[in-house]
Amino acid sequence: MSQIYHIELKSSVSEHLDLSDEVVHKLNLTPILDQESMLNILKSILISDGYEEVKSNPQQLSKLNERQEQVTFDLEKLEVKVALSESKTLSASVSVRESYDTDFDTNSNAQARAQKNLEKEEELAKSKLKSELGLKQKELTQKLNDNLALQQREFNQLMQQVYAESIKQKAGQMGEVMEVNESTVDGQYELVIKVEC
Amino acid sequence: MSTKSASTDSANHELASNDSTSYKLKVKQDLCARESNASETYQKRDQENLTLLRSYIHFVPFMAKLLSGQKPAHHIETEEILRHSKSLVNADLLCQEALESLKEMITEVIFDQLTIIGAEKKRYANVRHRTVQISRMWQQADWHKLSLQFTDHSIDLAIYIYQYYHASTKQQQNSILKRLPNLSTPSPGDLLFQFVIYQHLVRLKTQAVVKSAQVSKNDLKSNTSKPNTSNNSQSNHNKAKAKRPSPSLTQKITQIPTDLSPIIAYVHEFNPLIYLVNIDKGVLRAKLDMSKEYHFDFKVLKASEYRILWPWFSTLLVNAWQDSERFRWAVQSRADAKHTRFYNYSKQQSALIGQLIDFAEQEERFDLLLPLLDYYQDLYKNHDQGKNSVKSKVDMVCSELRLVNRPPILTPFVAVLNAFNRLAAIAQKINQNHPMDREWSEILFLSVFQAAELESATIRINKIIDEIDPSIG
Repeated sequence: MSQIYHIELKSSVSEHLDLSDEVVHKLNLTPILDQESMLNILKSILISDGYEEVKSNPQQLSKLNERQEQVTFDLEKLEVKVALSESKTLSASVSVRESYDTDFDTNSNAQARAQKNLEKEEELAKSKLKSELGLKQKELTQKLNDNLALQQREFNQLMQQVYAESIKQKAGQMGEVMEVNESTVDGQYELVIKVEC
Repeated sequence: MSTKSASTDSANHELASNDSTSYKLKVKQDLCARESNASETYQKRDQENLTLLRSYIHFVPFMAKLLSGQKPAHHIETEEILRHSKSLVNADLLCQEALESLKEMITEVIFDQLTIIGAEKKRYANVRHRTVQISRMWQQADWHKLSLQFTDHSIDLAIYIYQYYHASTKQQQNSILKRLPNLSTPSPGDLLFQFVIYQHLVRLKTQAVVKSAQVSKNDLKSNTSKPNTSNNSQSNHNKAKAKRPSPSLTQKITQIPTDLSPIIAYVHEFNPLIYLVNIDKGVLRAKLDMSKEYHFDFKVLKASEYRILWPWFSTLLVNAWQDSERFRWAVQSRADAKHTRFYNYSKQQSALIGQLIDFAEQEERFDLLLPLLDYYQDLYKNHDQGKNSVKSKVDMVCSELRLVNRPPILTPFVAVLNAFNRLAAIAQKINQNHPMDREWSEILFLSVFQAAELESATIRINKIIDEIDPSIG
């Protein structure tokens, strides 16, 4: 008497990818003081803003900002690197079902067929996961790209502090500083220093 | 015909050298010689008539069609003649009158073109009085004052094009191409002729490509729409056979080399007027080649003829560059091709602009930079608007690249934009000189720069640079 048997094979596949991207901003310091003095001012302002010296290279100061971007000022190369990284593991389960009739087929044949189909399904699932990870990479790049203007604004605020401090020091070199007035009106920063030479 | 007379001579020679020469043979020999002389005279006359016919029926109309932007006819007879003679330039196969007609056509076409571009009012330098004048140059008499010289170069080039068009074998084509570098040095007039003929050759090529694409599309349609039954195909075959001309003629027509690409490439390579205007031609579209370096030679632009011509010629250049912006930003189906095309085009353009500025500074011919001012002024007006900002276009063409991989692709385009700052620096430098110390080209450049009111362009172009190549400070 013929009997129908079903074989079901299950498996899970996963893909792991370290997604990352970075953007480099050039640092153009207007030489109000000599370069070394300006870099020292920049360094002290960065430290007060939460940046820390990188152990392997003290010329680099780095911090992780609120957008999870790793910001690194390189005072040697005069550039700022903003990096965003993320580790992603995506997984999916696959299953195949194979049936056979004992009068016409054997269990081992059906097993082999099921195994072959499972391998095919695994390959398909893997390529699907890879393309999903590709999209995740694009999303990460887009996220970093969208924040470029914001990053620049933040860096320019830091640079404003550097220039203000440099001008104050320069004024001190020129004579006796009588009065310093700082104000911000409609986003415009104004610094007035009266010096008696 | 020359082959025929050669064979008669060899026959006579055979007769004379025969050991068993008899009186009969001698008489025959005399008769042969007399016949040969007569036939030579007839041949010569026929040859002259043919030369005239060929010149007036084939060559002159060919050049007239080509210079008026139409597709010239292909003459199988010319093809036959060219198979037997090496070159029309050296052989006496074109009559003097035809060459005179060609000369007239060339000058007429060039001056027509000049009067067209001269219709716009432009600033130009009065070199003698060191002043800038604003005027049109729309009358032929105005341009005749330039005393443009046309040399053998133009005539020979026209003949080579005619020959290449009718060359039926690869060997014939190659022999013509080998002779191209031996053409005499082109004068400013010859370069203008090359410029005009280049535009027509490119148009012909484009038409041929479009036509062949249409033909293959129609073929594909007819093949797919009609079921290919044996009866049907047999009757179609018979119909086609009835309509079709003789196989030899069809074969000849299909062999016609409509692709004049090598000649197009030759004039593009050596003529600055052509490679300045046709910037998107010769740009690699598919391959990203970062090591490729471009070298352009602008020496010929030093000629005094260009002092007057350049302000008007610059309109052609600016219009072409504006059109080419579409080429730079074209979004194609193949993702990687987008940034490849963008990079290759920008690389060639940045080299062209950079080297032109270098040349102008070196030769103190700042008038040569006038088209760049118009280009930059229009660039941000027409290609940096709202959602179609340059930044968004850059993001679009580089969408397949991570941000970390974009800087090398963007560098040439940033260089194109930065060249504007070089122009501003030149203007500033000239402005710092006392007016009495300024040369005519400096006076003209500064006058156009100031009249263009480029302040907003300067701000916007530098903002674009900052958006795509961010810097802090």
